[in-house]
Amino acid sequence: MKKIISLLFASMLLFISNANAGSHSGTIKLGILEDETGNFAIAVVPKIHAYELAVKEINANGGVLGKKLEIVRYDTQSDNRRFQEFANRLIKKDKVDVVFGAFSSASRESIRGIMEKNKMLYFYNNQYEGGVCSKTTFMTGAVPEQQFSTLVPWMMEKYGKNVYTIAADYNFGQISAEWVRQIVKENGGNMVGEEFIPLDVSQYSQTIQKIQKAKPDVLMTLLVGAKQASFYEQQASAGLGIPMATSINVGQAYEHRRFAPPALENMYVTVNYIQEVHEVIKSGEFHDKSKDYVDRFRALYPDEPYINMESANAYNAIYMYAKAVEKAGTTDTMKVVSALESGISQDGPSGVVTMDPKSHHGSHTIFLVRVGKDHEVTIPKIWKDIKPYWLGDNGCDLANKADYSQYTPSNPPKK
Amino acid sequence: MKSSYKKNKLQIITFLILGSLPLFIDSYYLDNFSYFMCWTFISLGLAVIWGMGGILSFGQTAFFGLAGYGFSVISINFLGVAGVSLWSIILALMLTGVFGLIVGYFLFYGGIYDVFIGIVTLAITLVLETFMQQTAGPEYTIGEARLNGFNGMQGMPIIGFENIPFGLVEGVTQYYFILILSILVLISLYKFKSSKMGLIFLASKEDRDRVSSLGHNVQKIQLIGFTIASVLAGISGILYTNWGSYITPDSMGLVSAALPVVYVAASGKKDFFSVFIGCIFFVWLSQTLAVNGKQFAIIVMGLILVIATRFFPDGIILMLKNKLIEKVKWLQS
Amino acid sequence: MVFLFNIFYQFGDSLAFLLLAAIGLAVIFGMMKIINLAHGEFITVGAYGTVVSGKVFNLPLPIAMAFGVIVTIIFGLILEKLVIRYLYGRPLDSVVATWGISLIVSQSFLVIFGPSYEGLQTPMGNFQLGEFSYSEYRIFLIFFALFILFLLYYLFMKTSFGTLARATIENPSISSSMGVDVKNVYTATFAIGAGLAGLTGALYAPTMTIVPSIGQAFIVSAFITVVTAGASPFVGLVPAAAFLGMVQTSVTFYYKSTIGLIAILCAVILIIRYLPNGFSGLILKTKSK
Repeated sequence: MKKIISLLFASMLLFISNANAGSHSGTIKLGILEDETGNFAIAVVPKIHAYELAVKEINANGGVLGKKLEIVRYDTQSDNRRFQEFANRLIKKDKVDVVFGAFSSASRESIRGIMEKNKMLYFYNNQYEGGVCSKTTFMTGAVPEQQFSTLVPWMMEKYGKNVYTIAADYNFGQISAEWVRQIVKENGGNMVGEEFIPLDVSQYSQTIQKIQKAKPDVLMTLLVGAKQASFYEQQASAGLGIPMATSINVGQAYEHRRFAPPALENMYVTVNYIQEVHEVIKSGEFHDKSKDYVDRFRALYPDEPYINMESANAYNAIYMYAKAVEKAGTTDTMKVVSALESGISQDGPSGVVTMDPKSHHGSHTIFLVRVGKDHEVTIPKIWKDIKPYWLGDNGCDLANKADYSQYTPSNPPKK
Repeated sequence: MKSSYKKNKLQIITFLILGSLPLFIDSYYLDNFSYFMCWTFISLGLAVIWGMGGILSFGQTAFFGLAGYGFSVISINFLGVAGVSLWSIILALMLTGVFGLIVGYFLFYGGIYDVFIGIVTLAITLVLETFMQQTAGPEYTIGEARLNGFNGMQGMPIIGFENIPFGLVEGVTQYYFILILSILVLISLYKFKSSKMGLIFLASKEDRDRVSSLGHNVQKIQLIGFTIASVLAGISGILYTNWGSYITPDSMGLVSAALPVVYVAASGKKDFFSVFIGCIFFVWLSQTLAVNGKQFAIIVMGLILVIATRFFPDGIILMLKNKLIEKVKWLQS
Repeated sequence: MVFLFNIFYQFGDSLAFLLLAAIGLAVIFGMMKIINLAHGEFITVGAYGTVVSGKVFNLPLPIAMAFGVIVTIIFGLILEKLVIRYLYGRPLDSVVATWGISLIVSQSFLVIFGPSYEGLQTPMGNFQLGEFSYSEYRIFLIFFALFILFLLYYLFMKTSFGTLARATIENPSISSSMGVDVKNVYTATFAIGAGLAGLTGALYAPTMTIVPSIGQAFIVSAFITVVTAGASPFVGLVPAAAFLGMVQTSVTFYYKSTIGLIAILCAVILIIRYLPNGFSGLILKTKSK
């Protein structure tokens, strides 16, 4: 018996140690590091498919500089160590020309140093807490000044000036909460309470009681991950009944499809895209572009559960890279960086997105999404072309001054 | 000398092969191998307290993180000072050792044994992780070094020795640095095992009270073993931080705490060399599975662990090593 | 009055969570001494069993929950026959084996059901008292948790099966020589432990997001509560959960959740140090005085 097991064991090892077959030369290699499995998979799988869709389309149109685009992708399993291991693999073994990827800020930061050290062009295509000012990094996701400067004043005008924030107790939650605090103050509101909650907490009775005691008009919910998302069901069953606003949920992990109604009733989210855009907006530019994108997406992936906002960012990122390489005439990192800094735009699923040369962040169309009682979606307001102004206004000017740091409102770039 | 050569033929051959590896493989595989080797020290530490002393601790990753962060904070604050690398390493390891002493004292002199040590050390590790996760704010800065919470710490300089060609511990230098360190640590551990203290430690696993009644200070020896393990974990922490220029509270989480236990158990906790090779093998395996297996990678990893405990309770690598020596007569002393 | 009820609710909610997280593990780890790192996965099986049967077969919630429990018991039985029975008396090896099982199960759920499954609505409604509103279901959970524990106490401390089980686990060779089928006793006890963990998953499923890692939310709480309970888990579980719940609720009330978490972990460390037999040791000692 032991012999059979050992034999099976050995053959299993032999089988799995056969590395991926060698890749073709004469292609442009795109390295992709995304969490196909693990805690973040829900929001990330649409991104992976979006990359593949964009590459397929570009290759069908003749590729870039006459060469086909080739994806080399590793599943980082929502584990920072895998990000580091595979970042090295992409750079040193697969010798890719550019890297796209990462969902959580921690995973981005775990590889940004490696990318910068190796002068590897890197696109981060996810919303995050903002502030990364890095010469070889480009961010296509939305940042606080885009999501909160639109959302918070609107909520305060509609519901009242008393705001309560519950946020995940780590960088993203803390910095987002800082932004909310600032914007509430600028708009003459009151922060009636703030609670920071560790990522491992899944039970919220005490939190709900604290919120009720403070009697806010608006509840900012900056909660991250599956455990923290349990808050919504629990607040609904306790009958909390306060309008909620967030930058995180619905747009990424489509909670409104996954939670039983009315857990998310009266929740407002600012997103740069969601698949319902053309279902809600019946005509016009945004309707057409969204429908076109979703149709092409579903042609390739008919079973995709949800086409989320980060997929649009991933899709746009590939196209922007392709455009920049065409413009630069080469895949050499610094030349492509210059091309990207010359004002590249992409007309994507949510309209035109422009790359800001100073901060390397993208401008966005921001849709205000409201989730109703049966989790139906409406879009009460749209803001066009919201620029990522904060870094540029505060001393980050990458086109003229190289930098490789991350800043926060309480730690801005020194002037 | 000749007798120790005879007894350790397998080990010597292995290290000769490893020593000549840079001639045959290119920089990516070398860096990857260096990465695998980073994890051997924390596993060897666990082999000391668990394999030798029968003490299961989930706290190795706490010391891993402590040393990693300590190294980063010190080296960032004294950037540019001559000898900063060496001093950061020494001070960080001393800090880790002191914590090992404190925790060990609390455990062994507090009468905490068996499975409770596992729970207490796990609790300590989680406390550290929970605390570090929320240190994102600017107030959590030690000197020039910002802890940066969940997003992790960057910007620590690579270990380097000035005025020496190839003095920067990266690439080939890093490989040999870690390899030589491994050899030194393994030799020291074998010496410890056959020393008087080591023998008492081994005996204490079998019957604590009897050893104690023979007049030996069991608690003191357990404390020493625990501290050795903590410093070894710290070495892994520093090497890992240097490898990726990055350290995060994640490295002290529940999963991270269980990994060394799993590697050591599956390799063969009673034999240091098996643990060394086994750790490298299992880190390589889980990476290769992740590259090739995608969805099923983790399932296969789990299956391997279950099969290992069920059919090879003394450790797969140890069993393979013994079989190899049995079959190849020349390897026998 | 309103204020008192508020305190009762917050504290009771924390107590219920700790108790229900711990019950399955109290049998498997507290009694059988198997360090079950797959405890979270038993809870996950119970949760998924409930939600999937509820959605696919349109079962009313209590029936779906019963289904979830039964599925977990079957799962526990299979596991016991294949793996667990080789681990009795080897507590440290059970760490590795159950960790492997946990990886297999959680990843298999991911492959089969995807990263997320549509959830169920929390049953019962809510009511208002003063400026606060309360979920009726969560109050039900408080009483149900205490009820289950009372049942368990009765089962293991007062019935002949319970005495047989405890005796067999404590000394299998003597029991065997007295004609007891030791294997079956172990299997039955393990199945009860598994079923209880499944019950926890079933009970909490309507209140949480249904992801393959749903069980992970319980595992640390389960271990620290069982360890704090001490040598006789069914005596010590309620006092342990009450104490830890009190620590967490009050610290979180005055500071923040993170500190509350740290406080509860530190409390466990101190209990292990100063009360090596846990709360059950304390109670039994005072009783015998």
